[in-house]
Amino acid sequence: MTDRCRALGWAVAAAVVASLAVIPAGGTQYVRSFFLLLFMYVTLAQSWNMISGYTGYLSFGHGVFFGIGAYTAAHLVTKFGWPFPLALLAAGGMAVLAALLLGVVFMRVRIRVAYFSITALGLNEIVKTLVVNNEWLGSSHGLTLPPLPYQWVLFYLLLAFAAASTLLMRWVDRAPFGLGLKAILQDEEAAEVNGVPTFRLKLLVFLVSAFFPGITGAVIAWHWSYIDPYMAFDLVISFDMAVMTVFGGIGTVWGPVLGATLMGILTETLWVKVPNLHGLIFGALVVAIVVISPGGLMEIGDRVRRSVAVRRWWPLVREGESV
Amino acid sequence: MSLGIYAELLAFGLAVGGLYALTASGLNLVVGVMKILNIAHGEMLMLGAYTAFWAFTLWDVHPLLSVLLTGPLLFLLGVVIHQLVVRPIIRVSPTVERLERATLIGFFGVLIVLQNAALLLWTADYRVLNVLQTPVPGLHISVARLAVFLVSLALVFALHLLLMRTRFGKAVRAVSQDRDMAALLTIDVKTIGLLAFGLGSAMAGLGGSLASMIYVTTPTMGLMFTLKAFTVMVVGGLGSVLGNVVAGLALGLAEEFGAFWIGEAYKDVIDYVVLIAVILLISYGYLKRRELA
Amino acid sequence: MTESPLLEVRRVEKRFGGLRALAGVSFAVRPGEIAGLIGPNGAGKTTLFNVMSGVYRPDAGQVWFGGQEVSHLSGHRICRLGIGRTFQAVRPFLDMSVRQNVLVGAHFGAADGGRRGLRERAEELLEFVGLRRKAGLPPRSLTLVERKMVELARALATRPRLLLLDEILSGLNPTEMAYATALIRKMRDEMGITILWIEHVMRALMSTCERVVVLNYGQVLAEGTPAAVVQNPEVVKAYLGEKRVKAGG
Repeated sequence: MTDRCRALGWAVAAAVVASLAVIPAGGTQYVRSFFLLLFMYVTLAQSWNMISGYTGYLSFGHGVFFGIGAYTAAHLVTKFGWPFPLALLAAGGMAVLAALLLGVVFMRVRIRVAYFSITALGLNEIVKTLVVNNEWLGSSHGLTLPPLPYQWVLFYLLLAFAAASTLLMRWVDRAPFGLGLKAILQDEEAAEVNGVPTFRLKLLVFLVSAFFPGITGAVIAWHWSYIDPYMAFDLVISFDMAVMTVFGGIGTVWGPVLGATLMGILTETLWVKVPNLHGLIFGALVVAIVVISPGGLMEIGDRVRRSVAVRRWWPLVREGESV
Repeated sequence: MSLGIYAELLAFGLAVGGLYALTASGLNLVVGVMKILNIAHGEMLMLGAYTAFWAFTLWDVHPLLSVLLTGPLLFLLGVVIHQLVVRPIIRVSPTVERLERATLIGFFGVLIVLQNAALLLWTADYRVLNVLQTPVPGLHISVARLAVFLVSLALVFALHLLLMRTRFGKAVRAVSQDRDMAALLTIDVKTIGLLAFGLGSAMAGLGGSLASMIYVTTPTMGLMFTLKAFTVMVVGGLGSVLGNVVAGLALGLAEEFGAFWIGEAYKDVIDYVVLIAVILLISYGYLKRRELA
Repeated sequence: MTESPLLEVRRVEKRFGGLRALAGVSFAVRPGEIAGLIGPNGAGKTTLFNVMSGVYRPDAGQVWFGGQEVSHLSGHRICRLGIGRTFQAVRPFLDMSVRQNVLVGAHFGAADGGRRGLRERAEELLEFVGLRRKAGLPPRSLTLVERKMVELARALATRPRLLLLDEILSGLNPTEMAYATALIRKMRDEMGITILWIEHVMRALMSTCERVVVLNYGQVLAEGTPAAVVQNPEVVKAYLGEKRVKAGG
């Protein structure tokens, strides 16, 4: 990519972020909420992408970290009187802790992807069951959350999360760290004997991939102003982040953004009336994508780019140049 | 604590365990032949349960009789999924790792589709089939549970006979053990795969018919069954019918007795702990399951 | 002439369930030599490589490298200490470019991992194995010998002191074999890398190695110069009575 192209890219990105930032000032409550949720989808998709796309360990129950974050913050504020900013950090911390406990056991060996996936799938359900059945944790009654004096901050927090997670992935993709992750994805054993500290990298990525859903959960909990286990640990959250990433382009930087934006728009506009229809169609889309174009929209974009007619005014980047 | 309580737990555990063994056998078939993990396996069971429920509610078909309906129906669904999802994925996957990841995502999609279809069609309301609730004279369990126990084991045994005595069964075992060799012996590996997948789904469907008698039927019931089937399959050993039966019964008993001490709601947690323990034992090399590791 | 060995294997054992793949293997590799490791199929050669490179932990016995015990270190630590390897079923990272393959080794496997000169070193290695012109392609689109060269360059990028080569000549035609064998000599002569080489292509191995270790049923059967080993009746018997050394594999 030429320097001019790169500068243009940054300018566009800045313009997009700036225009998004002024929405609360001008838009209605509905519009604000709409974009807020879009930012949530992008953040969650990127988080899923981090672990599932870049290491290949498909974390199908990843929404559990969202729920843990939501509940941690909710409890700290309502039961212990913590200030929200601190509770937010603690939410992230708790999610990371959970990921750490899981990770030190599961990532130390070259575990088969299917095993990890099935464990991840069950984890969401189990934590939900634990919360539902535990009085101290809140049980199924749920918690009502006091609105913040600065509720508008939630919008900007999520915008920041979306931007931060995307920028982080962009950096990871180009850095040696990302190279190591891709090597793990390709052939973990070969990576290990060539010096890649697979356990360390996998664990680190897993921790970060849990942090973002954790803090997002805390923020969204306040957006909802009420949480119960069925909302916070809704399987739909886990499904959505996976589907959006796969649809947009698993293992790429912009795939999750693309997928989350498109599918987020669809979800919030068309199908909020019939919630399960959206699940049905998303599921079918995932199957279609895996069969037709496993790399999602990004791969379709690549194929289009490679077609001769387009190549003249959108030259291919030569492989290996970004590293 | 009267002996009666223990007898009851034992009976419950065995009944449920038989069902787990049945579900696991179906999964066993799929994993053994296709070498891929169908995480939507439990959804087939769910659909089987709903089929049994509606057959009973609409046409007074006894759930035990409904197996004649659910078996073929879910077999068909299995075939459809195999053709629409599995085959195309195999075609575009050059390596084993790619295949595994792609099928996991694909089956995840199937899971979402089936669960949401059920939610759309039948809502999340609990469906209960009150049939055969009368207790067996002399024993502490209902006829339903006894029936589930006996029929499950009968079906597993039938599958065992199918695999051991028929030509089809031998072909299936051959493909499970050595795909390339089987192909060399002019076994139609592709068709065997198709039939195995269909049969495995049918087994899950049959399990669903039985499950509808002792469980509450909901659209989200499938997931836990998938996890349990997987646990049983791994503990029992891939391809070992006896192992699956023993492991299934053991899990059922562990569930009931554990829940008795810890609390009914934590049944699933117990299963999950066993699942994790088993996965870790295999991955760390303490439990030898070469075919699965 | 008695320098301390670079690599020492002491009574290493490895079991898989009931199978004893390695039943007490002991030998040493001297710095600067090209040593061969041969034996019938199933003798435990690749298992031994896996133990040496940290893929497996030995059930008993020890592995010493450069005066340090490495038996229970993880694979990446052993790589950083200076043991590199290639695999029997050639395993480059298929969907990353050749250059990226080498960079993985350079970034992660070299003890210095030095940022400076990393790319230059990668380019040199690509030149060394003859893949500079194809550096931007993924190994998936390369031929077998080219894929082996990718794996080799990747391993070399980790700055190994000892290189474990696992049947690097299998599947190659005579020209390619000669090319690879020449590279092996160059690695020792120009880069000072000690080589331990598993191979079934006897002619190439016997004419290149100074010393050969013969493994059978997880134990060392014989050790010595190629000439001595070839005439050892035990060795001949182990190879199912084949009296003539097969030419070209």
